[in-house]
Amino acid sequence: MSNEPERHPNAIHRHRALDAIWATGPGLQRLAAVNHNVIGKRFMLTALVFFFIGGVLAMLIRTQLASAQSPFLDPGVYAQVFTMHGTIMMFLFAIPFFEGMAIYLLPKMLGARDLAFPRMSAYGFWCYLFGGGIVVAALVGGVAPDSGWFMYTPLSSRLYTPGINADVWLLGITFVEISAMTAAVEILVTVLKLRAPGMSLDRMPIFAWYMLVVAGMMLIGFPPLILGSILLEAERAFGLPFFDPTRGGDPLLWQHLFWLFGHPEVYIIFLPAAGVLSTLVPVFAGTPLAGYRVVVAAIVSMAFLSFGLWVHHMYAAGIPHVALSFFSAASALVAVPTAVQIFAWLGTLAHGRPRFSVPMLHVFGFFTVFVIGGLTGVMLAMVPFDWQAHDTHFVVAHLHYVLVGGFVFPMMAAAYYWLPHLTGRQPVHHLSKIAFWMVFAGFNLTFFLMHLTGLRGMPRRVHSYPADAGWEALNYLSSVGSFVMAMGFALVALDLLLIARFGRAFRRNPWKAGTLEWAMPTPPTAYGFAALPAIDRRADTLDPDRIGPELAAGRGYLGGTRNGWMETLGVDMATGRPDQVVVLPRPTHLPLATALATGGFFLALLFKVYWAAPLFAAVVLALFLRWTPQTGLTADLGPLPIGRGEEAPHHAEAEAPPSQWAMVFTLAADGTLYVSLLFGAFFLWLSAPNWPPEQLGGTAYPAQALGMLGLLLAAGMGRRAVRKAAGAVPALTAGALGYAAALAGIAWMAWTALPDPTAHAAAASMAAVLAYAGLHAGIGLVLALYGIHRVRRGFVSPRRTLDLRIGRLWHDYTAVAGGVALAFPSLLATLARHGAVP
Amino acid sequence: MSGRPASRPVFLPILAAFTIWAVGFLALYGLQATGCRLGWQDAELLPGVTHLRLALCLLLAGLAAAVVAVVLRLRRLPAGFARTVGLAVSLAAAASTLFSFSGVFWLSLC
Repeated sequence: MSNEPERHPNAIHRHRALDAIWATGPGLQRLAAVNHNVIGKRFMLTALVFFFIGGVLAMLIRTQLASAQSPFLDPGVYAQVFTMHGTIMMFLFAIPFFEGMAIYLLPKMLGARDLAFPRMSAYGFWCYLFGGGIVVAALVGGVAPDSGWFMYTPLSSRLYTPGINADVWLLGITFVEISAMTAAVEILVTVLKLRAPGMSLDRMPIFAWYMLVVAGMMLIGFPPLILGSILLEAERAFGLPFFDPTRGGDPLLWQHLFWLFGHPEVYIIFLPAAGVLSTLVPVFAGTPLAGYRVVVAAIVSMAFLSFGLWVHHMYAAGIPHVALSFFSAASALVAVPTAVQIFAWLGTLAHGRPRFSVPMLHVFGFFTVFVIGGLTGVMLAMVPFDWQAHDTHFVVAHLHYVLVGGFVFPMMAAAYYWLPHLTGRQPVHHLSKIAFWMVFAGFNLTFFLMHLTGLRGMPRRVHSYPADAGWEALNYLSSVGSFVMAMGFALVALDLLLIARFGRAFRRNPWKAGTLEWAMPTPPTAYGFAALPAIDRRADTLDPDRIGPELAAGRGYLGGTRNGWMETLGVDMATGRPDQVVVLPRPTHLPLATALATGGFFLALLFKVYWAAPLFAAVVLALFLRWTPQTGLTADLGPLPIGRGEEAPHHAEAEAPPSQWAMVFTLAADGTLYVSLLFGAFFLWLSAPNWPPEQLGGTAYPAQALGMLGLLLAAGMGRRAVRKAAGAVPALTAGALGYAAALAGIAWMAWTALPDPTAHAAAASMAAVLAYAGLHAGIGLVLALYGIHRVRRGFVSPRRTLDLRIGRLWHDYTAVAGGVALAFPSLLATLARHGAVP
Repeated sequence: MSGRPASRPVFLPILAAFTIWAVGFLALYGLQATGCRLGWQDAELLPGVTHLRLALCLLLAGLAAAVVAVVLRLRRLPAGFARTVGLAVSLAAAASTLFSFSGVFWLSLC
């Protein structure tokens, strides 16, 4: 192993050397791909397949509603169709598409060679593909989810949905959401740590700011949904009555958990599209984005506000006036940062000399459609209006104006804008314009009229309607519009295919953009940049035509190759100063194998083969541990030359490597899920009927003391292990014993102090909290044993304590969360005993 | 090498005020629901002023004071990205705090 990079005499030689290291192999090696180019494209293409399926379902819906009392679909099939349309478009198209776009674009725009965790990207993709495949297979099999994409209880509970339809949604979508969580952590760490040297936070391209905020929102927004899905599946499978009002549960708890995810979700979908607009508009206006800092402030404000309006989906649920006012005010306020961005784009266009091209046509489509959707959103934010329009087609019109205007039009603009990057071919505009106008006209014909049917009282999700209701003509026109729109989308798809095949070739940077992704060959090589650039200004006002040839000639950072490593640079997150050489893992089939095993776990739960689920979980754990030998160092290397006369340590020797930050963010998401669980139990105590339960239980002081002492020992020994480094085995052994004691304490507590968890939601909540603590203690035990293994294999030294520091983060979190869990049953029993309301 | 991930005071100025808003949102919503559950809206301190309303108003006052304190603190930062963005976000949070929660003064609580 050498610290010195191998120099290359010319660009061709350098390209061959880098390509040999970074490229994905042929044949079955394609299944081992971890490169962001490959994974990003796979995400986007798969999402487009799901978009097609969701679109076909939309056609079925519109055919059914074209006339009153239509016999086209029976009510049961119709329920599956509209549920799957929403589910596919939200979970299998919109989110994965922008994830794929971010995976493909972010490293390039940031001046990095790949994302921080390529294997996790690949694992996320396979989970998405298999999870989505399960959901769509259920549709083909006639057992698709049929309770609406929001899965409200009690409709989705076992009593009213006895088949596996709801289980398909709960387990399939949770499986898919693994990809969202991995993408969130991946994007956060990549944007914060893997940038070109000199790219401080205030020099980041605006798209990176958008994705940073979106990833943060995903980290907080998705855990409540995942928690809700786990709780509802636990109710359906094992009878734990979290949502059953006859046993102390409450259907409104589901609505809170779902919409706590579901409304931020709208902004999670919109903000990447807004990031695209903030990137495209300045390019076509020929001037930098107006108000860069104000736009950053607006997207941060929007992110926070978007978490304060989930109850506006529940205005009709009987919530007190003052609480409604909080959510109504926040729902109106969120229009302000949205408007700030819109005025920034308009200001940019006004300052520049706009060029009108096909991407700009779709930007025009966005402006028109999204602004209408935003305005009807402000109308619906007002409680009195919402009570009139609630659950009518007015809401259907509003949400489509927001989502199609705020996501689909910008994504079509993005497709035309970045297709030359993907394919090396430029648009020729034969079909592009007519395709756009068909989508635009068809969309407005379809959905504008739904405002009117809604205001005339037509409810959502109905399979048929009376002929004399006065809705038939409007519905018929809506259906005609939807078919025009579908033909438009088909033409867009054909147009993009023709461009990819027959488009004009170009040399570099066809739009004269100022972002780094155009400073590389197109279509891109697996390694992206032959050398990494130094950034001295805002990274969307660069000159790719000048920078590209310099980087190809190796004039930059990491211009050579070293030990066959896949290298990119890590930087200080604020200043952009290089602080480590991040060595990425090679292509491997392990992500695919791990996703298959994960799929086995979910299928075992779906088909009620419960004995197999722990086996698959064990296989998943074993496979994840198989990922680790590739990572880390068994000898100290010291500073490595990185070019331009500078040095930086290998990431295993760095102070703040990406994996340490990944654990911080993972624990943030984990903590959000846990707090949601605790608040859920608190909510049931406050709001659910049939409290207090007959049996409270809740106290077993010796068991609680044993569990807490074990967790404190494990955390203390985790800290001691970091200090001892290579001599950490005794501390880690003591930590493992601490976890064993904690697990014994938790089991003892569950055995002696827990009432029957199927009898009442209070006991079910206690069981869920203790199970959470037990799971974390179990993982902590694995991490302690893993630490011992890594020390013995020579991966740990005083300079290389990364494995132990990651473990310490987990041990500290588990001590706090586990301590709360062990006290929780007593606390809930006390609340239930003393807070009883007649 | 050991130690924690290096942190720089860039995100704190940008996130502080709205974090207070978010925590305050949950606290106000939780306090309102708890007070209604435990009957605090029925105990009048003064004519028309119940224990619950007083508690909500005091909490809102505390939140507003905390957000204003963040704004004042940010004004003392040296000019730059963190100050500009942080001030803009914090002023938005201050306005949001007053606009979102002022209903505690006059709307029916339960």
